Amino acid sequence: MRRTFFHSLIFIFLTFIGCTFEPDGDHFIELHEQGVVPEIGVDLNFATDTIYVQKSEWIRFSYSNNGDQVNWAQLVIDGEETAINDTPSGGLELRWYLEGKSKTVFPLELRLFTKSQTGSIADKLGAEGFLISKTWTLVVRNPDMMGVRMKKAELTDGTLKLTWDMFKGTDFKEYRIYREIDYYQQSFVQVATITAQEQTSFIDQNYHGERSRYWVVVNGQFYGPSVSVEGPLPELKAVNLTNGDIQLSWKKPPFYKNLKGYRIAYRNDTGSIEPIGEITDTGIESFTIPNPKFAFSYEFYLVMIPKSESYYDDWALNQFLSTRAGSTYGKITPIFTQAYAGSEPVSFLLNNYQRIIAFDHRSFAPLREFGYGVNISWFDVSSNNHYLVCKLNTPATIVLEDLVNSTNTKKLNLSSTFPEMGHIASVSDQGTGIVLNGQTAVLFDYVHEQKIAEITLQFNNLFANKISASGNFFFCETNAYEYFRYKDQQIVRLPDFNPDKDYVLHADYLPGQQEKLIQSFSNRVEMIDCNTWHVEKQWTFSEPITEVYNLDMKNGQLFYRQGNQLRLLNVFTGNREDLCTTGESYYLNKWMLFYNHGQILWGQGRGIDVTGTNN
Amino acid sequence: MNRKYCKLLLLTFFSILSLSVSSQNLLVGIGGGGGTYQMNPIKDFNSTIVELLPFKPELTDNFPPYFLYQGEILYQFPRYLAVGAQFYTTSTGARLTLGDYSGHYTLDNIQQGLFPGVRILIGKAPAGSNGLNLSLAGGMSFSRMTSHERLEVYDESVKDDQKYRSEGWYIQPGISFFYTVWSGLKVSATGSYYYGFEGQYHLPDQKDQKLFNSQSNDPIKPQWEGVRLNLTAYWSFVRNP
Repeated sequence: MRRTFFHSLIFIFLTFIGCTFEPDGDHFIELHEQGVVPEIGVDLNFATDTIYVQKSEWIRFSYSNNGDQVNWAQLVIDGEETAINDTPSGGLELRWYLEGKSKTVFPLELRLFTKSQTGSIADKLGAEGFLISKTWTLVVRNPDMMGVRMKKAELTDGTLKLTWDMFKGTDFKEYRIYREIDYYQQSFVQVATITAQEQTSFIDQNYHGERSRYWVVVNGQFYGPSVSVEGPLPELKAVNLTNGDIQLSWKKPPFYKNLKGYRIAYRNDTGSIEPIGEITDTGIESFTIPNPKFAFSYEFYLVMIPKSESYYDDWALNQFLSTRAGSTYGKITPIFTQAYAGSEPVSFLLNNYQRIIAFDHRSFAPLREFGYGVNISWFDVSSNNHYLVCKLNTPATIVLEDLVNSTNTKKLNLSSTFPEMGHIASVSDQGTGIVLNGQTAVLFDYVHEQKIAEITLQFNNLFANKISASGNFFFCETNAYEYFRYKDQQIVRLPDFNPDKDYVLHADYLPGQQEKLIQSFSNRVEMIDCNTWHVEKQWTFSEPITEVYNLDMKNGQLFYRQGNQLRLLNVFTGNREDLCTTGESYYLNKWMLFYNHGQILWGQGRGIDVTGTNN
Repeated sequence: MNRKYCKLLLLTFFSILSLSVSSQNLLVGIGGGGGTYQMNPIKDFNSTIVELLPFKPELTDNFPPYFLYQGEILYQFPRYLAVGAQFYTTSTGARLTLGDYSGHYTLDNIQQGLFPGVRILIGKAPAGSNGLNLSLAGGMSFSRMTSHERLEVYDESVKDDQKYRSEGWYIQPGISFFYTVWSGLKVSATGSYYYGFEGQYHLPDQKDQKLFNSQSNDPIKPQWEGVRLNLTAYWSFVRNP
């Protein structure tokens, strides 16, 4: 029995010895079968729905994603060329052989099999997911057609905005914006480099109105058509204010944000552009010229001053980035070619050789006019403002205007009295004057129409002459100055007070009990007592007198010019006074300016106040 | 060592022995028990598998304690010493699994061990009266790892079975308590601790094709370390004077 038990135990042992451990257990999870389409960020070497490909041997298309949500990807061209990659994250490249293809338009499709994001076993293994596809159109183009068009250069918001078409090719690297500028030493300059394909606009802060062309070069090899832009530069206007000052005005240009400001300049006597002032606020649209020059024809420049790098030097700025306007300083007056005055604040102006305008300095307006239907060649006014005599272009015809009693005004035909009548000039307070008949100077009474006396001149070229207020003294400028006196019913020649024959700039008589002759040279002014006929006073000048214009008889103010300075010399007191400046080398002959009653008149039709009080 | 061959050998051995009536101071024991098994390299291997898989299965079994089955023959000397041969086998395993609406995955890793060896008992028992003995065993370990992998996704399925072998040796110190049931039958309860020195798993018949953990580059080998508790019934064949 023991043996049987033992045998049984052996049998059980041998049975159990074959039993091995069997693992068990299960782990089942509940999941939603619907899934969620994952967000796929793809990186393609092209960015538009229509892709331009250059006609060449090989074209490359590539794709890469930024995560592991893609099980596989496939690129298909025209349903034939394919490339597939089943790497969860990574890239795919398809090289397309273009040679020999006759078509020019092909479909390109990208297929992505994404994860389902259910978290299931099938999802993890890539056995379930979403199929996403997108198609593009490939258009084969010649290389010269691959460039992008610069669409417009638009002035907006104070600066220049460039816009161009988006590049539709593959493997975009960069846009380079180029600009060609007139008058710049390089043929063109690079304005910007843009590495974002989607960016199709650029603000050029370096545009200041230069005439320019802009174009785009893609990837350093594809050139596109250009667009031109120029200015617009603001229109510069110059107006005279009520006091005669010159005010410039303009509208700020559409590229004003690119400017640092403006420069106001003018063209000076030497032809150079000389600055007057700088404006740093581009919003300012006017400027009053400080210390303007009188009797100077200004050509003003409004120059754009660039804020950033400029390709232009100063010369080019003045030449190309400026706008101009002309003007003169002063209030408007009649235009004249000769002017005379008596002792009143009324100047008589010969206008266009056709009429004489009496200009009242107190009202700064014309008072009356004298016209005779024919041109007037010469005229003068007596110092007592009683008579005005003028010679008409009609032969030997003189008009005597009685400014006090116009009924005495008469036109004299003196052809029979003066058969060789030449020049006449000036009239005394008595209504007498000098008439040249051949080489004879005749003292003539215009009022009574009769000769008084006569004398033969040394020369017969009479340029000017003047008779004193009393009518007893006169001079004639022929080749030289000849001085005469009427006394005891005859004319006598007086000694020459200019033995060195210095050039006489101007001579005139001061009225009064003791009449004086004021004679001006480039280096001195002399007052000569007419009765004693000697130099009573002399004023010397270290700086040469350029021109003497007139003698203000009432106040003894000799109006003259030194350099670009207009001045007065008071022959009574010897005081010298600066009035204003004029153009440095601008030549103003003796007939172009006239001083009276604290004002200067310019024959071009301008007048200014130069002293605050009336003398 | 082939399990079937081993069974046959044991069956023959015990059959012959059961027929013997010769007076031998022999103790023939058969027993069983249980043990714990560390299996750390295999556990790391499973962890690596989980990391490498795109989905994450769960570990439903992780080398739990399991039964062991033991047989031994002891020759007891007159006093304080018994020497003999022992043999025991045990197994354990692990399972990685995951299932959802789209499919099912299972990876079973079964570890089997055969441990033939020599045993020495020092103490009054079993020759004398009941009592405690110091036990020391040692010998060869033959391990087998079998993996069964199943993957089903919708109507597609894939399976893969792999087998690996490993050889090593061990020592197993412990304490045994012997109790005489009747003159020819003794029972003992033994508690011991297994210290193993296992070899790396390799393909069957290709010892140079060894298994490594691809992530840590550590060798993959069994680790049978753990406690052993077993009960053994002995038949004694004592020489008649």
